[in-house]
Amino acid sequence: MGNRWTRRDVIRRGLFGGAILALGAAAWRMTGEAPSVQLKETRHLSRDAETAFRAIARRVVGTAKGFPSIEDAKLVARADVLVGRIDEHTRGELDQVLSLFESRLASVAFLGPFQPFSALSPEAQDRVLDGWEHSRFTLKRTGYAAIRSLAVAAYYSAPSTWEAVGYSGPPEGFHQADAPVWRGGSEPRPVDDRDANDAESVSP
Amino acid sequence: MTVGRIFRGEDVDQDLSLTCDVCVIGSGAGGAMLAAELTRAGLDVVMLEEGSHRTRRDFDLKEETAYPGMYQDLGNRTTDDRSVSILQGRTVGGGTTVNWCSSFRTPSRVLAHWRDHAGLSDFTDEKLAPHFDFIEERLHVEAWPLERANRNNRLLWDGLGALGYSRGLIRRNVHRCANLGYCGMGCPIDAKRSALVTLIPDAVEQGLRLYADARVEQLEHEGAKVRRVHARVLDPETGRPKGPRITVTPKHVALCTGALNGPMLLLQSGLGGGGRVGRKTFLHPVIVSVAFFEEPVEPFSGAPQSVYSHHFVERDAGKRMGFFLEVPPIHPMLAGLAVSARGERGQGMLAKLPGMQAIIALTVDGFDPSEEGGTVSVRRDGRMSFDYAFTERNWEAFRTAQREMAKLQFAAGAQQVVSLHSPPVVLSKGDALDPLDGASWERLGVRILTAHQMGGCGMGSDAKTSVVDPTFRYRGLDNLFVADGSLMPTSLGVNPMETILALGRMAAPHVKNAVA
Repeated sequence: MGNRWTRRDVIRRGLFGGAILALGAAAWRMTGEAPSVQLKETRHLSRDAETAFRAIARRVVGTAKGFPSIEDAKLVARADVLVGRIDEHTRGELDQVLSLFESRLASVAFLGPFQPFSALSPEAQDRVLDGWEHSRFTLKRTGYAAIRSLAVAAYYSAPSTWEAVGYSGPPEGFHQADAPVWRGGSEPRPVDDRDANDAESVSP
Repeated sequence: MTVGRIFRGEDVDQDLSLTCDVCVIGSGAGGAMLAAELTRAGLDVVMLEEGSHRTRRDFDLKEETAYPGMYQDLGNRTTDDRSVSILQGRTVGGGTTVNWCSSFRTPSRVLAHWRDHAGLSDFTDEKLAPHFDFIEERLHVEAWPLERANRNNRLLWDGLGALGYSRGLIRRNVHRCANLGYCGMGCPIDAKRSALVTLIPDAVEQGLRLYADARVEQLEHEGAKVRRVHARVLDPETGRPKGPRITVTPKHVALCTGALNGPMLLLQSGLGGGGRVGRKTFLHPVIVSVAFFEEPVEPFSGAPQSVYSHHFVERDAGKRMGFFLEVPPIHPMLAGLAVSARGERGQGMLAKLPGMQAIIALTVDGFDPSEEGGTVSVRRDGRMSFDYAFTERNWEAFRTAQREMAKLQFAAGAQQVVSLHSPPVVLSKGDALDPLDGASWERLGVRILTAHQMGGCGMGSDAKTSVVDPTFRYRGLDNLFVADGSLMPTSLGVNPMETILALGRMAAPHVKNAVA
């Protein structure tokens, strides 16, 4: 990442000053198609961070019947687009904390278990995440909160999850992608009939 | 009349140097109103707005589009320790483009407090009334009848009635509203009469030059004057600087970027107001109670807010912190973020989204002199640091509000009430509420939110305690004004849009006179 980070730095500064809502659609708006799956799926996370994030996201989001898997929801790809938009400093913090989960050296002093997080059983992973969520150390609690937010937002913003939660999606027939936009200049301002003083409202 | 123009990041490929009478920084409620008034008076105004110019063409009613595209920090701004989630607009029109349309005048008791404690003698009901009349006419603030309330709001109404608590109907700045429920993601039919579709086009028609995707990074000042305003042009797709810079040499500057960002810019520019800039920032800190009903509620549909209660807004003559009650819209992503349960338990709760109802308690902070509120400062790496000092006054208000919300929801017929603690307190119909008191009442132990940010550049008559004087001028500089929510000496106890619009309108004559 270019900076030399000590654990003290990360603790003191706090984590993820902003920017952890998932945004797969932004990438798709730009490219018009879903990102292709590669061995390493993300562009903005290191291999260890991506591996850890995938494993954490699976436990955070869940695997209940009737809900799409994180793969079906393209959760990791969606999260990666968002990560690409946050500032370099915050991205570095995120990557470093995620990578801690996979670090054998760090796991001894920091996480407890002698294995990378991704290699643990689901039950052991849940215990690790419980430890972070309820830790007396701010670093762990804020780290858990940030990673959880990223995973959850990436998941539930995916249209493939909406049926499972009973959400019918945005109402149709109201958004006009080609609606005219007035920006001034030589173009006269269009009449806005909602500036008129009639009190009628469209019935729901 | 010279017609102005809205420029976007993609329009600016090289450095620009501009001159004007007034450079307005920020296009939210305060800035938009000020720009409309100044251009109407014939002044040459340049506006710089960090957010993008998004319109109904962009409002596709999807959370994944709206939050990263139109909110600060991609929708997840927080305090340093992540204990408070901060929803704050970042788009042309500011918070008015993404708020939930709730329109309230500044309460009389708040104006009285400001007169008594901040020496703001002009802040009377009589003097502000004409401003509110104008605002409500221009933004089409109208009554929203109970029969149009969605079920999420109706259940709050019913609960309040069952317990005999005072209740009211929220007025909304909408015209021919289709009752969709997506106000927080931008109105796709321009029924929401935000600054984006009213005051900004008014100002542009009157000559405003608005540069969206332009982040002001410094106010260059020398002696008692701001000499230049320095901004970077941003790529609207990535939000990152794309190279060109905009330098404005104005006669006067009006800072209208809101609480947090306004103080931050001042601090980055070496303007600390004697150590007062960024302090006393108030948030209406919010806690939430979620309930589940047997019949459908569909909290993602229908006008988000139409019922309120001010029953608890003043408690023990101010000895305890008050709170007011409203409801939030609940769409899947926000629901997922709010619920603290993990894995299948969390999915189980989300699967009941159609039957989910929520009440929010917005605590009324800043009225006791012991409250420090939040503090904005600049980190060594240049990023903003923001922390909020919770006291027992805050926690007592939270605990009381949590119980009252649960009572209301059960009174309205809820089968189950769940708090947003970690772990959550889950109560079934008939259970005692005592477990709520024993929940994790500490930072990160309970979900705390804010959608209203006020203060940080407090206005007042005493130079020793205020950042801005009663003429809206930043103390210590001749040509820098502030006209946004950061002026407020306290929070409000109501949704702040109308107050901030009024502040912009009150500031206008002072800025005009200064230019003249």
